[in-house]
Amino acid sequence: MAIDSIFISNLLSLLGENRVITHPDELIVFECDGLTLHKQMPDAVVLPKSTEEVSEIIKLCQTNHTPFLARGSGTGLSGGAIAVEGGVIIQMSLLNQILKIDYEDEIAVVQPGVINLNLTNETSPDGYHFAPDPSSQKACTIGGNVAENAGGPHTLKYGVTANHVMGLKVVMPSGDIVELGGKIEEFSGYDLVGLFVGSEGTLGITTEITVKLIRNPEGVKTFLATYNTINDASNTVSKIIESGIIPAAMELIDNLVIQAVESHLKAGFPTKADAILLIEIDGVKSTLTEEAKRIESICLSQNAVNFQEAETMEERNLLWRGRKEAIGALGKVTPAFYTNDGVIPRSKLPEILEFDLDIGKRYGLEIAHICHAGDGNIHPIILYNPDNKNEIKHAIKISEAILKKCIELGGALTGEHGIGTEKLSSFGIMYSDNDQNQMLRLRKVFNPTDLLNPGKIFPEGAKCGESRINQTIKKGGWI
Amino acid sequence: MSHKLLINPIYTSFGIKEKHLLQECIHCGFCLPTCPTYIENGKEMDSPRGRLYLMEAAMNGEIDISERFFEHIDLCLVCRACETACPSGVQFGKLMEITRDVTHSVRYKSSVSKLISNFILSVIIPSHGWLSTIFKLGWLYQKTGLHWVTKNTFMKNILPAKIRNINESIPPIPFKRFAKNNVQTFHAIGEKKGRVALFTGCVMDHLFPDVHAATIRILNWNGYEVVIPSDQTCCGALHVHSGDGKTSKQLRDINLSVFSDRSFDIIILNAAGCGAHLKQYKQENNKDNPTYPFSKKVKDLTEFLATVPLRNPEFPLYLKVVYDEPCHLIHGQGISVEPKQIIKSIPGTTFLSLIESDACCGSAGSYSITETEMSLKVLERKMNHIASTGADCVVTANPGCQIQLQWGMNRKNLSMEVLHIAELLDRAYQKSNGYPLP
Ligand code: SF4
Ligand code: SF4
Repeated sequence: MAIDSIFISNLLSLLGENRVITHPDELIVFECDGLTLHKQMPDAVVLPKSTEEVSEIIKLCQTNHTPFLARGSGTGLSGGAIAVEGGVIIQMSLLNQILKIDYEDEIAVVQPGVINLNLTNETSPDGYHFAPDPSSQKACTIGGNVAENAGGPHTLKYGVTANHVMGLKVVMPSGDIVELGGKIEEFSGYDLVGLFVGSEGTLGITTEITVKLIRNPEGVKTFLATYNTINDASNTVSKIIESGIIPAAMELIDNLVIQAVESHLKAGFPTKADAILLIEIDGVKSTLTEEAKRIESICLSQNAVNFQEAETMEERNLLWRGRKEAIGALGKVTPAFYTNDGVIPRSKLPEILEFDLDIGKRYGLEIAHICHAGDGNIHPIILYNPDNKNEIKHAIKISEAILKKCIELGGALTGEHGIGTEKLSSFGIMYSDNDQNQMLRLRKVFNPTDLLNPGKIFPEGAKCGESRINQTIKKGGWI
Repeated sequence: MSHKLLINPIYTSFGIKEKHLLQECIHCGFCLPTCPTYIENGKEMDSPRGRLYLMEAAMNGEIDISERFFEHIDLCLVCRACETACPSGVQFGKLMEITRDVTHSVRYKSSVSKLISNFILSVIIPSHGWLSTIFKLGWLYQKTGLHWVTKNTFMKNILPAKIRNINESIPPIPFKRFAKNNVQTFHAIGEKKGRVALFTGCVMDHLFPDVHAATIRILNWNGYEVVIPSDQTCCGALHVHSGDGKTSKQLRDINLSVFSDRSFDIIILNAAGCGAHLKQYKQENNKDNPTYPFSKKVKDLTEFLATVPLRNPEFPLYLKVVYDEPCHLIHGQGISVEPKQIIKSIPGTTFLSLIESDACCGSAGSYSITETEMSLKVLERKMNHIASTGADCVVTANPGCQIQLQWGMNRKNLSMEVLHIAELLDRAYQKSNGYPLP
């Protein structure tokens, strides 16, 4: 969808030259987000500084029949911030203010461009934090977290973004500004906040978010359990949950990832281990010692060869840094990789890991694993060479097969990354035509012209004929 | 507006090695919130990831090497905060240097500004004599009151904005410069523990002779003899950042031969920018090359002091201190704990924490002159953070940062002192019996 010069001059008079980007030599950097497999250049990028400007931009787009979508830091892994059909990207990076922090009601009001970790940094001296902690929390925006319903290691105990959003100010695809929810739980009427969180930016664009602030726990203990086989590690996960303990986080990391992390970041992971579990418990100090003992004995009963506690804050931070930057560290050992985001019932963890191993061998590609093991969200990472067309094809095939297997085992397509453009082809495995049609009808109510973020989630979503997504990989990213 | 170049130098010069370096970027975006230019304008093209993307697009011939491209390349401070943030170990600084180097010749083909900039970089900066003359004139300019007039009267409105900013940021120029006519040796006090050489740089000799003097006293006091080879010259970092790789290599070779005397255990620097650059001398070469032992010997003053049993200052210095980390120390050399330990070791001082202490102040070599607008925005953010601490004194470890921070103080009418860490430690030592007098 090409845009004409009148439309551009309207944008320019609304925002000024500095906040409108239209030259292809600059637009090229917006052709992909954290998923570099799919690329499509937008026709323009604009940087609004207020809700009203967002509304005006949307109205201009509607009048001109131009597709539009919002983008945060572009760290998403499902292609959610790509302008599939061209059009305008509304870049939210200048809407980056924390508007209000209210400890009495334990809430904060933020603009969507606020970096996730900044809110925690801002409130931690006062003993609070923002609980959703995706690995990209150093860089991702809270607006993006809302769109994708982001999770993170501590989801296990604290829940995903949806559990932490109280209210939203949304600019609807018509340009109307609405306020949903507020600072108290609302139980009357439809739960539109619940509907918006995780809608992948296809129902409206948020410009203000009211989130819960969570009091920091009195005590935290972080453990590193080392295993000679990945099977023992995954059995431990079920055993711990069965015992009635709910850790704050429980992460499984395999040898390939350990190697990558240690080659660059040096977090203190044992390089000879086949797998490690990173387990964290938090709560009232007096109960933690007892829980720690129980966890240790479960780990040892499942053949852990070593079980140690992080002694200092620095040690704990380093272990978490190793975990959260693990995906990045893989860039050191492979020119490209593809991160899968399937979910399985926890008890099926050993089964899916074995399946991955087999299918990797069959196609001759290595697969590394980082799992939010506690809630069954797996991240098999398929390593491949981007200059080899066959390997690209195989990586995609492997990922699709793993997702199919997840569904067979009673799981889901995505734990936290969203469907985006990435999993369009697998959507039908999970949802029947009837299910999909029902969802599409809902989308039509909010987004009748389908100009807001078209081509996402639903395979039928791309209304204007064939999707223009360009599936070539010239970049060595985490596809 | 944008003039297209007939040949694309990146397209022809980037090889497998560069491609590989670029491929280490996995597009995760972790670097974005640490980049001062992205924080300011929120544009992907002015983020580390965006700049790498542009380099790659240029390498693949997908975009033109036009003024539009240079706008984003030039706006980079090369502060390398993105390197510290990057989980994949992308060597951003190196890639930026290569990009500027290979585009340099085509970009400035026969322009007047190229001639001027070439003359400054290749003739004036490396020459102690030229710099002496210029700074003498500068001293006169300030002493005669002319500087006051151009800063404070109607005159300032006549000057173009860029010149006005440079004019206002000039710190007081001392009359005495750090003389380097002959090889000088400063003897250790007490038992001699070793022999070190001091790398004195170019502009520092003239603007900050006191920092050199303090450095020498500190080293002597801790048992080290300090030698100052007289023929040493500018490190060449300014040249590399401006894309003048040729002069930079010439300067490197001079320094390598001057410092080839193997009897130095260590080569000490008190300018983080030069240190980061000298340590990189080795990158282009392998073990058999003469640069190898040289780069191994290069140590920042704070880095070196952390490895020796440092004499504790005996008398308290009652100061509330914040430490602003020079980019080329923390991001360029990975040195951050050492200077803080030194400050904390001084009795009586209160070490206050500073928000974004690891972010650039906007000085970045000649950046404050070439990209004044962005430099001022970055400085403004820094000064707001500093002002909110209520400290008496800001300590840093790089002359460029000292100038920039002092200018920031003047602009905001703040009375905090700006000190080099050597000056702070020297001051703490001064009351000790037997410590040399300034
Ligand atoms: S060197 Fe500094 S200014 Fe340049 S891209 Fe990296 S963080 Fe940004
Ligand atoms: S953090 Fe490193 S790998 Fe990630 S986008 Fe920035 S430069 Fe690339």
